[in-house]
Amino acid sequence: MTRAEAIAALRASVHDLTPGQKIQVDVFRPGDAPGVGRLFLQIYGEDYPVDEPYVPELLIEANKTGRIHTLVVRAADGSVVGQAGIYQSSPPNRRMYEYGQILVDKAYRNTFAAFRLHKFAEQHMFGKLPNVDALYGEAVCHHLVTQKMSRSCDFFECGLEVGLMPEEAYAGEGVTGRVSCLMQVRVDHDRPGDFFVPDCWGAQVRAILPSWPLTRNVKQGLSGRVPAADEVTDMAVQQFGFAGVMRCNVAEVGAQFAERAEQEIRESGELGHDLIQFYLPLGSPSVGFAAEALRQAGCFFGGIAPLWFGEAGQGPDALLVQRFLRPVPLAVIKTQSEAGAAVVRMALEDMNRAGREFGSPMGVVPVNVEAVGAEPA
Amino acid sequence: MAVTGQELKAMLEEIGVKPEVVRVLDPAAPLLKQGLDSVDFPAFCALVEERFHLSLDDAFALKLRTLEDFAAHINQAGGNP
Repeated sequence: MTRAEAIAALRASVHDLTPGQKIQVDVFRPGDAPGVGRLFLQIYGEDYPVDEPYVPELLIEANKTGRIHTLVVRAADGSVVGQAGIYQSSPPNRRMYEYGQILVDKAYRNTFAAFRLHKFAEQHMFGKLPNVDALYGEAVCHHLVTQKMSRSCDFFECGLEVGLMPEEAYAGEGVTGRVSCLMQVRVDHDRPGDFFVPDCWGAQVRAILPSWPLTRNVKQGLSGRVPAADEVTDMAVQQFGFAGVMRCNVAEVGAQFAERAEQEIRESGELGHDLIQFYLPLGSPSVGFAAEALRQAGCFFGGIAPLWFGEAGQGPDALLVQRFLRPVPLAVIKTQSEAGAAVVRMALEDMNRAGREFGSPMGVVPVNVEAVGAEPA
Repeated sequence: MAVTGQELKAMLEEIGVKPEVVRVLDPAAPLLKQGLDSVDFPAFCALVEERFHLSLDDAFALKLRTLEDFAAHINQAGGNP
């Protein structure tokens, strides 16, 4: 079945769920697939950027092979009223999974369905899945619920994806401006490795590193090796048209890195994107060379992502660097912890620096709003 | 033995509500108007279920607005730690 056929079938069977039924969280069963598709259609329409949620056989296969671990909330009549996912997504490290896609049917928003999904994941999935070494989440910053739930189960803050999501993605939530996401990571099985600190963002990296519950062979002042002329940049580009974002995973830094990065920035702007992200390999002695090239191209610091590359490329970890392609309004940024607030401060200060120094487009933080800092209890 | 407001307050700290919020909490006033949020409240309900061997239906739990409501329900239901 194609995506279009699957969506047509879902549309033909759309119905309102009976509210008020007893609910229970469970792992996915093949019979849940149409219910999961119905939820994605209700919440994202036809635009969710991957096919699996809509196409039953793809979702069943992905759960069978372990690429996706879907959790569902079922009502007493068997309907799927909520779901969450642990799934392979952007990281080149196939053992680093994303945790998210927590969706609840509109008839069950006044229940604890989302909380129960999260508790089930914490008790039965986190740290217990054989093919998963680490989890990461992108916790939206226009409210604190996701940040708080993740923090309570050993996720730690390591980056800010400034203005990652368009406000349309949160219609009905009173959001104005692009929504920033705090990157939170939980590591269950570490893979130690070299960690070259890039000079141009050394202060930011050194500020975050002590909060990592990980051991790294940190190499100060050695990251600026210029690649040999025959070393080639290995960069995988992902486009997220619905979000207006281009994400570039740089597994290897080559001699022509600056030219390649400039080309991606230019093309991303021509495609109408708002934001471009680069993930650089912190295990490469040339990461400082690449970081400086991006700084000169008007990029700013985003964070450091443990195990992003794993054994793919010169990992295991990544430096997140980002750049707006046009000036964009940003939604209010709230953080639940002081560690999160510190990451937000670093990213926004460096964004402003890139604007001053290179005239880079910036995200505009709302006026008269407390944009940074832990929200008072 | 009947559960007390103090025991329930201690449980709020267990789920991560800040001590300064718990200290000034009025047992007769709605929890959601005293600094608890949409993560704390279900977490507290889950801990009550676990600690007192009770099952709280979501719709019913949302009617338990204050610590006194929780204490009354636990004592009436014969919940034992």
